Amino acid sequence: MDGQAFTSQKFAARLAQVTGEIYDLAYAQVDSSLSIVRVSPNISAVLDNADRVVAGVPLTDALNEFIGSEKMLYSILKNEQPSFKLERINRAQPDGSLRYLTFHVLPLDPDQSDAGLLVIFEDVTRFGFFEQNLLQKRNELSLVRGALAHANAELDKRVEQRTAELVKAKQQIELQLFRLQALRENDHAILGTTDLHVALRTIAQQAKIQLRVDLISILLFNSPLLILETIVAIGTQTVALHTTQIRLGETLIGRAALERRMLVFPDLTANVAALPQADKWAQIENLQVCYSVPLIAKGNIVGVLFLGNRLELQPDQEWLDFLETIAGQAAMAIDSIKVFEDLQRSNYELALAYNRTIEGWSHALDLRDKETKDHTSRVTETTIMLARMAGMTEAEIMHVKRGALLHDIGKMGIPDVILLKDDYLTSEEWDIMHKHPIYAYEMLFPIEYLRPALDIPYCHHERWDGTGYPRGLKGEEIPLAARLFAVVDVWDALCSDRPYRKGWSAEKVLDYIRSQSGTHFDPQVVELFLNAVTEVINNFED
Amino acid sequence: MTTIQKKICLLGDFGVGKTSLVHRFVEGRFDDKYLSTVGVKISRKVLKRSYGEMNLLVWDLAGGSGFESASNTYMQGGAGALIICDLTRYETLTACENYARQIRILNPGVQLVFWGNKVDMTKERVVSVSDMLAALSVFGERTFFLTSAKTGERVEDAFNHLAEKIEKGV
Repeated sequence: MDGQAFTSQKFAARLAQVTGEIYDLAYAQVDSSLSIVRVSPNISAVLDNADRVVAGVPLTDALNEFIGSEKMLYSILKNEQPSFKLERINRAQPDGSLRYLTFHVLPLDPDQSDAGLLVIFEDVTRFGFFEQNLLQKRNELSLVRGALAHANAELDKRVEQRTAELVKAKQQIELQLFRLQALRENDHAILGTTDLHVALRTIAQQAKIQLRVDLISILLFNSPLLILETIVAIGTQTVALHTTQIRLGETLIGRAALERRMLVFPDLTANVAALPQADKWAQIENLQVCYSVPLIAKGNIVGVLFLGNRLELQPDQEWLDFLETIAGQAAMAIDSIKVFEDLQRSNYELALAYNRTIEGWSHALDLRDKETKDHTSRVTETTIMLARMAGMTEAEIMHVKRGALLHDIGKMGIPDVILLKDDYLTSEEWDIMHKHPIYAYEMLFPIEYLRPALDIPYCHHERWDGTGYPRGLKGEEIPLAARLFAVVDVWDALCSDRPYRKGWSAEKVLDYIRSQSGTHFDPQVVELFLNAVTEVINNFED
Repeated sequence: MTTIQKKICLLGDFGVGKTSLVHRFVEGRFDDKYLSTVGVKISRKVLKRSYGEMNLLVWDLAGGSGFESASNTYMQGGAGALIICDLTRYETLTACENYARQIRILNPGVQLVFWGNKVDMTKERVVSVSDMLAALSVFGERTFFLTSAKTGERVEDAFNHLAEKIEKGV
C-alpha cells in the first residue's frame, strides 16, 4: 500500500493515536447540546472515570469540573470565544495518588458555529508535581519569613517597651535618689544646727526644688496666741504672706492646722470672688494651686507647710509621698530644736543659779574671814585674766572662776577661835589651819559640777619647790590654775592693809614676787604676772 | 426529592487552611501537615435541605500570595464563595478584599461568607473581631465565622450559612 492509499481520515486517526500516546492526551467530541459524541480510544489512560465519559452522556454529567462553566462552553460553540482551559485539576486516584489534568475546550470547526466542541484531556501530573514541589517550597519559605518578620516585630516591640520601661525606671530611680539626697541634706541641716530658721530654710529650699513649685512657706504655730507666723517663705512675689496674720482655723493655712489634715485647693483662680478676705494674699501672689500641710509633732500642731503654684499642678503619688515626708521633717526640726532651746534655757538658768550660789558662799566666807573688801572678787578677776593669757579655754576658765571664788571654802571647817584669833597661832593651831585645803577637797569633791573647780581650793597653798601644803606637790604637779592663783593671792594680800600693818607698795610686792620665783612660785607664771602687771595694778586699784 | 447543584469557591491566601477546611467539611478529618495546592481540587458534599438536597461542588483553589489574582476560569459560574483569612497572619485579611472583589466582578450575584480560620491558635492570633468587621463592611457584610479546621469549630455552620445565602439569593 503506497502513501496515496493512506487516507486523510486514517492519517488523522493515526496522528491522534500517536500524539495521545506520546503526550498523554485524550479527546472527546461534543455536540451542540453539550453531549459527548465520541471519545478517543485511549481515554481510559488519561481519565480515571472514563467509563462515564461515553457517547450520549452530557459533558457536565461526565465531568463535574464543567459544572458552572456552561456559559463559557456555549460561547465557544458559537465561536464567540476561541478556547477555554481548566488547568491542573487535582484528581485523587483510587490508589490514593494524585493526578493533575488540564482540560482544553476548542470549537470543532472554527469556521462554523454550533459545529460542536473538541475537548482535549491532558495529563500534566509530572508538571503538576514539579510545580507543587516548587510552590510548596515557596509558600513554606514565605510562611517562615512571615513568622520571622512577625517574631522580629514582636522582638522590636518588646525591646522598645523594655527600653521605655528601663528609661522610666532610671528616671524614677534618679528622682528618688535626688529626693533621698534632699532628705539627707535636710537631716544634716536639722542635726547640724540649733537655729530653727536655718534648718527650716534648708527644708523649704529642698522642697521647692524637689516638688517644683513656685512658693514654699513654713509657718510656726504660736499656741498662746493661736496664730500662725511665717518663719520662712521662698518664692513670694510680695510681702502679703509675711504681713498676713493667720489665725487658727482661718484662711487656707489656718484651716489645715485646725483640721489637722492636708488641704488641697486645686484651682483658686476659678473661684477668686469667693475667696475670703483673709485669703486675698493668695490672689495677690497669683496662686492657682495650693497645698496646706499641718506640721504635727508628738500629736501637737507645731506649724503648717504651705505650697503654692502659679500654674496647674499634676502631682503623682510619689510627689504626695515626698510632700508628706518633707512635712514630717519640718515638724521634727521644729520640735527637736524647740526641745533643744528649752533644754539650753534650763541649762543657762541652772548654771546661773550655781554661780549665784557660789558667789553667795564666797561672800559669806569673806565676811566670816574678815577679809579685805572685795578680796575674793579681785583675785578671781585677776586669776581669770592670767588664765586667759596662759591659753586656757573658756570652759577651763569657768572652773578657774568657781575655784577662785571658793578658794578658802575649807576655812568653814576651821573653828572661829583659830580663824579669828588676834594673837599668833600656836603650832597645833597652825596644823589645824593648814588643813583647810583638805576640808575644801572633802566639801567640794562630792559635788560633781564643782569637782573640776577643786584645783584652786585644794592646791593654792602648794609651793613650786614642794614645801607647800597640804600634799607638798612640786613644780608642774601643782595644777596650773593653783599656780596662777597663788601669785595673785599673795599679791593681793601684801598690797592690802591689815590691822597689824599697812599694805605694801606695788614695787615692793613685785620685788617680793620676783624673789619667790622658782621657790614659792612657778617662774613662768611670775613672768606672765609681771607682763600683765599694769592691768593687775589697775584691777587692784579699781 | 429535589436536588440542586451549586459550585462554590474557597478563596484566600496560601496557608490560610482552605484545603484543611474542605477536608474537615467533606471528610471530617484534619491533617497538621501543610501541603500547598496547585490548580484546583474539586470536592462534592451533599447537604440535606428541607426541600431535598443541595449538591455542593467545592472548588478549593490554589491560594494566592498577597495581591496575586486567582485564575478567573476557576471562579466562573460560582454561586457562592468562602473568603478565608488566617487569624494569625494579618496580611491574609487584607488580601480577602481582593478575592471578594475579583469574584464579584466575575459573578455579580455571588454570595460571600467571610471566615477567620485557626481560631484555636489563641496565643498567635493577631486579627481581632473589629478588624474582621472593618474588612467585611466594604462588601456590606456583617456576619463572619471564626473557624478551626483543626477542632472543627463552626466549620459546618459556615458552609450551611453559605448554602442558605445561596438559596435565598441574598
